[in-house]
Amino acid sequence: MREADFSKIYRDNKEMVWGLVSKYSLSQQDREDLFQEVFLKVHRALGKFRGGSSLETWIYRIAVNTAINHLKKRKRRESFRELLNHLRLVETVEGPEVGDALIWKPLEKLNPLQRTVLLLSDVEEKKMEDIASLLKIPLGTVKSNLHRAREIVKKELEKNG
Amino acid sequence: MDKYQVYIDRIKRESGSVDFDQMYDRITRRGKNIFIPAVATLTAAAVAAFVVSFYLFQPAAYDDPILNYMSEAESINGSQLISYVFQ
Repeated sequence: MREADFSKIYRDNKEMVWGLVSKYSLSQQDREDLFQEVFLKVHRALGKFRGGSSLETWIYRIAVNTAINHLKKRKRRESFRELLNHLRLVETVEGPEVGDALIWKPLEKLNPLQRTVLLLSDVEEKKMEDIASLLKIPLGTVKSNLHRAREIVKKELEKNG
Repeated sequence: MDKYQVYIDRIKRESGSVDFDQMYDRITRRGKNIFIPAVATLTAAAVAAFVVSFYLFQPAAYDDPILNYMSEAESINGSQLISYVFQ
């Protein structure tokens, strides 16, 4: 792949990818790592892109999948840290957070799939059918996860005033 | 507007900022270097596999204790054997 091709792809999609990954991570460092990871995957896999969907959709799918994996890894890391904290082996040190950290708290209550479905539907304003196709899950699963995610977030907002 | 919609609108606006040019440099640098560790790992694995196979799969010594016992001078060649048989 020529550098010029990747450069153009980066220019055309950087804002879309940043807009998406920045909703998944609290710290600036994590956001930048996630952003880099998405484009590194694109860089590596571009030769394998067969044009089954538009390039933008393909990159969007990579970004969503990378973000979901990032959330899963973070949840695992947090559980492990909580365990160590519980056993008093380490003190929990939070990384620097972006903007008003409280804003993310309701989303933190959701599991990776619920969070992704809610972000894609209500924040990115994607259609449910598109979300199902993007995540390769049944439409019913999208609907039930979105319903549950909205309920949890609303409950959290009520709780925190 | 209900609380939920206010919240979602806030999330939409919350994306922080980033230096895209700097990020591009980092990505392309990492993209180029990605093959170096992969090649080093593959080379190390190939060398290790060769060493292991060399020690594990050497041709077994001939199992016949008598033939092993015989020195090269004592061993007989094929034509001698034939002449013994037909004598």
